[in-house]
Amino acid sequence: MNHDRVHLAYNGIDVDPETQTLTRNRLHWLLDHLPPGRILDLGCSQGTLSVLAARRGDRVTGVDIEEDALAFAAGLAAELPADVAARLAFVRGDGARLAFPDGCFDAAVAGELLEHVTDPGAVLAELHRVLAPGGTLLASVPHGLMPHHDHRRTFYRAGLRRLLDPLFEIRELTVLDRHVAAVGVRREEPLGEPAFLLSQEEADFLQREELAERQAQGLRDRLERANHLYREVTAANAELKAQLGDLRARLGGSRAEEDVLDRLAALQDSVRHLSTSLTDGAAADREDLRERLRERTEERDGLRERLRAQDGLREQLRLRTEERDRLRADARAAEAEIALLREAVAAAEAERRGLLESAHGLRTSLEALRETAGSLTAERDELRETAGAVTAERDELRALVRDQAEDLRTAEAAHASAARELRARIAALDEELGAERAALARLRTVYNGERHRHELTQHRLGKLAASEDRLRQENDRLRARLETVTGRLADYREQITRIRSSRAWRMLSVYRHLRRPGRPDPAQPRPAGVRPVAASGAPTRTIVMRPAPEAAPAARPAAPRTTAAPVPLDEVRTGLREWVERARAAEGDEVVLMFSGTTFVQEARGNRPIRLTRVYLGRGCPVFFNYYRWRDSEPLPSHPDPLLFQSPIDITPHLLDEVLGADFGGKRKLLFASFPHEVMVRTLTHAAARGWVTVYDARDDWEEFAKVGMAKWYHPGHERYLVAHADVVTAVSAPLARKMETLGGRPVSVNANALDPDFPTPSVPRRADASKVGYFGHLTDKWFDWDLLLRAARAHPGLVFELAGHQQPDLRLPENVRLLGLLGHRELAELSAGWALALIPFRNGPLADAVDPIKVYEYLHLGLPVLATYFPQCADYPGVRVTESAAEFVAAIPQVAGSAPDAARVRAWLAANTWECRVEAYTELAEQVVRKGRDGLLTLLESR
Amino acid sequence: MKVLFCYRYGVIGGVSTQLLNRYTHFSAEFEIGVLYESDHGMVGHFPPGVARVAGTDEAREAAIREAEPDVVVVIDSPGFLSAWRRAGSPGSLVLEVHTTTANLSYLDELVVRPDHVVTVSEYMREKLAALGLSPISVVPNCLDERWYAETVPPALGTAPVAWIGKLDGHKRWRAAADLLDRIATARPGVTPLIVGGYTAPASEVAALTTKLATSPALGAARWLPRLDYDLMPGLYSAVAANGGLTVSTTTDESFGMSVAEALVRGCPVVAPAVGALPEILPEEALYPPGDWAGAAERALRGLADPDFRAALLSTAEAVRERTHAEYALAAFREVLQRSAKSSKVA
Repeated sequence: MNHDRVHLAYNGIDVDPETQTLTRNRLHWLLDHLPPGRILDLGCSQGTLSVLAARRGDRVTGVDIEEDALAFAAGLAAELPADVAARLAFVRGDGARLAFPDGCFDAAVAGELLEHVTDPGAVLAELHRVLAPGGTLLASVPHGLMPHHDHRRTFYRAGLRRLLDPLFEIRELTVLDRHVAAVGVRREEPLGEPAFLLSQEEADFLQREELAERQAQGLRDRLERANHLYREVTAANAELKAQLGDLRARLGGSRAEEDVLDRLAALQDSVRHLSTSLTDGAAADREDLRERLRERTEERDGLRERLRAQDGLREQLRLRTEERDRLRADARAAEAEIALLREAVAAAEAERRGLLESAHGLRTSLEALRETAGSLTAERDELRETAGAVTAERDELRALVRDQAEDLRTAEAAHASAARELRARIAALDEELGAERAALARLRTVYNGERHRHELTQHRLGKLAASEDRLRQENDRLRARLETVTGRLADYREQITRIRSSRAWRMLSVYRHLRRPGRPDPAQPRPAGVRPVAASGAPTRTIVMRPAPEAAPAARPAAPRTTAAPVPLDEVRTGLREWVERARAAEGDEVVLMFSGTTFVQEARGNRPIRLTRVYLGRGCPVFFNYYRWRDSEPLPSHPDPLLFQSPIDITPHLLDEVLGADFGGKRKLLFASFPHEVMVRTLTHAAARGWVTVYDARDDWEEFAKVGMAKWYHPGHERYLVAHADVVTAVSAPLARKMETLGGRPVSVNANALDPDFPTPSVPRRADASKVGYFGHLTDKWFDWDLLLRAARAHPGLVFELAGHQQPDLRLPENVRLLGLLGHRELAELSAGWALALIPFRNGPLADAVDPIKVYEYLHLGLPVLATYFPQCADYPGVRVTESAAEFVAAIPQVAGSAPDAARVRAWLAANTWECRVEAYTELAEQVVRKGRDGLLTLLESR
Repeated sequence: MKVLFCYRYGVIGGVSTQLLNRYTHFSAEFEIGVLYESDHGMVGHFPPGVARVAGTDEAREAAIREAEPDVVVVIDSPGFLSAWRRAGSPGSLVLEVHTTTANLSYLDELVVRPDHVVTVSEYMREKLAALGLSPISVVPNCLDERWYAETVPPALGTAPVAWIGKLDGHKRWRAAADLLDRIATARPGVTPLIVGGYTAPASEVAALTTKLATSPALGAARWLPRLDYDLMPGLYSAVAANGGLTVSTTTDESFGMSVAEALVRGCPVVAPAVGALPEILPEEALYPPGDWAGAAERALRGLADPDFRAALLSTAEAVRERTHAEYALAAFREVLQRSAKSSKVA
């Protein structure tokens, strides 16, 4: 067993600062040299390095043989943000037999592993197998002797190089204080089989190190014994002193007693002398031993340094020797070449002399020939001139004859061709006339038949028109039902994903895995290429489409993918570029980047970012919509509106540069940070510098959500940053706006939630005797006050409480409380016709203080009076009764149920509180920013 | 003469900006080519065909062989050194070292012997000479035209104290945040400004936002994780014109590019006496590494005392001359010509 404590050392727990610094330096060095991608951390131990790599964005698989260490690592992972934890997996395994397919990792780390394993060659062969071509291996081992019960071998620089070199090309090999670390790149063709072997020099040195270590250990033991003796003597002295004090107390007074006291004092002096001499002796001995120990340690460090220097010198010597051999070979070749050149020079000299003599004779003959040639040349030139004139005259005549003959041939051929064509045309027209007459006869027959069929069809159409209304109603009902089912499916899926990502599930998975090691672990990602045996257990997403606009069928995006393979980034980029083109040509004068933490845009969801997005799309304004997904294997959604581009949060960071820098043809650019995510922290001011008006829209009190176990990504620093740096900050309620103002030290506007006027109303008026009490929305006990609801139900047994929603806790409910499950908007509207009153019974507290429930607007739109617990934002809303105590709430139920809201006032209020109004408000705020410009240091984003 | 520059990352700014400057000035005289191991938007800044990406060992080797260069300049890229050797060592090799001490380890195991070594400061020259490398020429980094362009600094209504850098231990961002906190506490009315950190790990981002949220004096601080390089000259000018200054907390600098940039724009700097910084900063601007009280004291004086402020800028003119493209490029041209000669002699 290894008993690794890297996590403690890294975090400085129970270790001295020097050990912490060394551990951090080593891990950071490994991280700095670790390329991004799919990482295997072999011998991951407590997962410290794996977690660091996952935090910076890598997908990491940690493997170790120690179950305790892996359990510890899993515990660390469980405390990480969900997106980081999703990139981490810890698996138990043996490094010599890895259960991964070939080439499935981009890089691997073997930190302090090779000194522990039985066969380091087998481990390296496995690492070579699982690394992709060109993959990187990082290895670190203790440098020199480091006594540890589990260390099977000792490494020096050259030894580690020899071990790695057959399979990995060493790119870097360095000493990190007490360790040696190497960076290697996987060789395509291994140079041999790796094996650990000490050279003779290393073996000799190791012996000396071991001897020095044994001597040092002996000295340490002696020091310990001396310390022990010193402590014993000190204790005995203290005991004697105590006894002497007792005796004095008992004997004080008489002479005999004084004698005894004197003797005892003398005895004490003797003991003190003895103690002092022992102490001095022990201290001197200890100092002496420490000095010798220090000398041994220095001697050992010196030896190590010399060995390291010898390595360097040896490498230099090898390079020098190679260079010298090369130079000698070059010199030998050069000498041979010089001899050959000398011989060639002598031969060339003799040849030159012969040539000079011949040249003299030739020169004399040449002079005579030149004279004769001069007269001949003059005669020839004269003849050439005459012949040229005659030839030109002949060529002209020939060309004239050729042209005339060609014209004649062309005219004859054209005449013959025209005659042939005319004859053929006459014959064709005769045939055509015959065919047309026959066709006319056929058409008459067909026309008579068709006229008869048309009369029959008219008769049937009349009957179909009568049944059309009935079918349309049925279609609406089915669509509403489908909407509901879709919503439920999405919620179930979210619940399953949450359960699977919960600590309990992972622990259960590990437990299952341990009980049945042969079976795949459902909590772990499935290896590439392995498909589940049956797909029926995996929920699939159904998307309810709005009818596509008739005008742009070609621009409709493709249907959602059904495979689990992530969409390649290049494909997404292509889609984005097409969207930018459409966005530039869109009619609206604003373009929106909605960085939302909700699901993608779908009909069954009605939260704030989706509602705002719908309004912008309705105005012809393009929207880039970021949404949250749990895994990158989830298919990308489609939406019929070509002005909407939806991007999951794992892809959005790769697209932001392109979106922020795109040319949208002069449209005003609005960026909504709809939740305080780290990506927005990194992006906000960069977007502002690119001309975007940035908005932080505080739509809930995330801090309070985090306290009840939701919004696990929440980081208070991030929210404070966004509040301080955004151009515009809005909040959905006055209390939340005040909190944001305090947080950021700046004014914050209230831009509350609102009504979607398309929210359906009941097809029949509400019954006058309606006596039910209703609620729709989340039923989680994190904010839904079940105690209050049950108290109300018991206090009013004559009333039926209908609750539509999901995520209710497991409770025994009274008979007059009915759970209806998740219903679609149409069903809710119809159901509300039987309600006398709508409730919002949330737990009082800071979470509710900040909320502006969207359902308030919907209840009022349905014509219902509303009874709510303490929501300060809603206190002045018409038709809403806000209560504070449970007794007040319960007592108010019959009063509010019997009241009738002022319908005209409610209608007028709702008309002023639609999502259109909210978008108008944002347009106005953005206009102010553009008009006024930025303040303070944010001015720097605009100045060039 | 064919000159081939080889560098790892085609990233806008830093070394790539230097390469672009060199291309602009040398392309009339020499035939210039640029090779990157990977590109992040830089290749498109060169005319077509000038810059290429060679992503693998084989591609690098083939590209060097194909280029048939007279001089190959490899800038802090061990991958290109081995590729040059495998390609048959064409032309003469110039090794250019910009990286700081912490990343010099690759020089311990050089697979080739360069014909010439170029670095950016005397400090680096000494470091490299200690490793046995020679001959070494110092060619300072240069700044392009935009650093000399006139700007109209906006009135910010506050005196900014700026820190520019990545959020890592090398630049000591934590110490920087605490130093800014200390300065803002002692002198209300200044506003801390942190620039950089876009690529920092999530843990560092969370740590910085926590610091900004929990240190009262940093409450008004502004953090710009990412700012286009084009905006930087204007930023330094605005900091200077509003009575602010720049502080540095770095552990080491081979040249001190951001310090030089600030000085060129007339923005006073207070920095630790490490690396090459004493070559470009006056003594008044330098504090002993780790002496945060001394750093704060200098910064506060720089904010309040015009004479001291002038003293902090006393080397600005010299830095302006030294980093001017003409100066740096003339020095580099000499290196190229010497290397080409030695290549022909060989």
